[in-house]
Amino acid sequence: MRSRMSLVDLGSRPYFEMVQMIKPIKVLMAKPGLDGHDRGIKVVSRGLTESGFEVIYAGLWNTPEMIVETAIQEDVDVIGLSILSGAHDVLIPAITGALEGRGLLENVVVLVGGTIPLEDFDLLKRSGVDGIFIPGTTISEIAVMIKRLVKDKIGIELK
Amino acid sequence: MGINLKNLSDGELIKRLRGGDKPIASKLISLAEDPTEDHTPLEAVYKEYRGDAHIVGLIGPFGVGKSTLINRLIGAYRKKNYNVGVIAIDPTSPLSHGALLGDRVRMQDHTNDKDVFIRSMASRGGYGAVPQGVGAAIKIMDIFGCDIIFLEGVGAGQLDISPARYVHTVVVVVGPMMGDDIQMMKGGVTEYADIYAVNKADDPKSETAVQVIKEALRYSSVKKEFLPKIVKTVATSGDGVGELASSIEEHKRFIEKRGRYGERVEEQLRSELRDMIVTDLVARMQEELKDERIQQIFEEVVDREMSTYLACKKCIGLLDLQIGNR
Repeated sequence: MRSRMSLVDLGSRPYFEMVQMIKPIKVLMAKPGLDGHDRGIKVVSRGLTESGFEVIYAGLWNTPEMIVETAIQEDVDVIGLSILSGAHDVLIPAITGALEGRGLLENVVVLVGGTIPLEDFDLLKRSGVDGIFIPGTTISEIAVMIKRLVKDKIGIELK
Repeated sequence: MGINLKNLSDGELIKRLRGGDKPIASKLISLAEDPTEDHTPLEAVYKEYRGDAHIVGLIGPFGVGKSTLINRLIGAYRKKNYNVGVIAIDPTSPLSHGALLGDRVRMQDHTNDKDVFIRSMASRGGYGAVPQGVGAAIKIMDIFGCDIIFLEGVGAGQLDISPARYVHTVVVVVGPMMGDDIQMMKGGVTEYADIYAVNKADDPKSETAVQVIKEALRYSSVKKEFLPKIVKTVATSGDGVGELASSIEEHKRFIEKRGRYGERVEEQLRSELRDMIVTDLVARMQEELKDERIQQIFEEVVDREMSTYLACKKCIGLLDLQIGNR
């Protein structure tokens, strides 16, 4: 008997099928402020891409205004902010405040990742942050959390 | 994010778009990208579209500097007080269906400029790696007030030509290591070029690239109306970008003088509709192929009982081609 090799999954998922699929979740990934440590944001961006998200990578040195402007022009569902400089207590409320000023805070999920001390969680949450990820969080934990938050907060459900 | 387009009348929608309302423009583009949505608000956009904006496509292999060049071109055109739009396409992964849209990061300097609109787009399986939303996004940015719109292709390589049908001017971006004259003789990208930008020209090898392009153009038997310009650029420093912008303007004047400007807009609308129909039909066909009799033919091919050529004929015969009625 001939043995049958199974092909890569690609064969059963035609490229064109994608056009008919449900809209993917769009995530803006950015580093606010002058922090240059971008290994974390790159790992998470790559991981979310491989989990089926559309990730807009805005890189380093974004001002709060740039982040809000980018979120508007790209019409994203989620904003992921990576910060390891310790300036989160100033920069993150500046971003959520600017989002609120444009009437957007209710319509986008805001997530923060990085070296955030536990005692600062409350301050960030009160400023409008929906989720905080500290070192050691896995990509799948973040992906699951995003799917749950976009469903609960802005009513997008993936099939 | 937070706007329901259906609550706006056509008149209000166009008024706000003309007034430079970025959230409205952005929402409209998302609507255009999503085939599962109700596209009624786009009727007003297509009726309003005049085709004034100059659409410039930048194509070429990945890593050659297309995004960085666009970043410089935005600066050059802003100095002339032009309003600038950018549509930057990156590939959707056929495996995960995710996408990493990493063109914008090269252009973040211009994000806060109210007269610049930058939008990233995942290819999402669109026909020829052009996502379905591109055609509409061009029209939305045109009405929004963009005088020039840069369309950045996916960077797939030799056959990355589909964006060419959406633009007035094609800039093919190559690097110093572009290969020898045999590469230039192959069909594809190079036949479409109105302008060649040889980027990373601070590398001495770029002079070879320029010579190779010149040779290839000389031997071509296709008589081009517009003899393609070759411009050396260094996107990271901005060298040569002024000259590139001048060449883009020169090409625009050329096609305007020949009455080709409006013609291109009409051609673009036709090819946009063709792409859309083909994409939609192919997607519907995927469903049809799940038919039991058709799957049987697939198995016969797998068992080496039939060639794909004969099988294709049989499958097409079995398919009910009146799928539009379903």
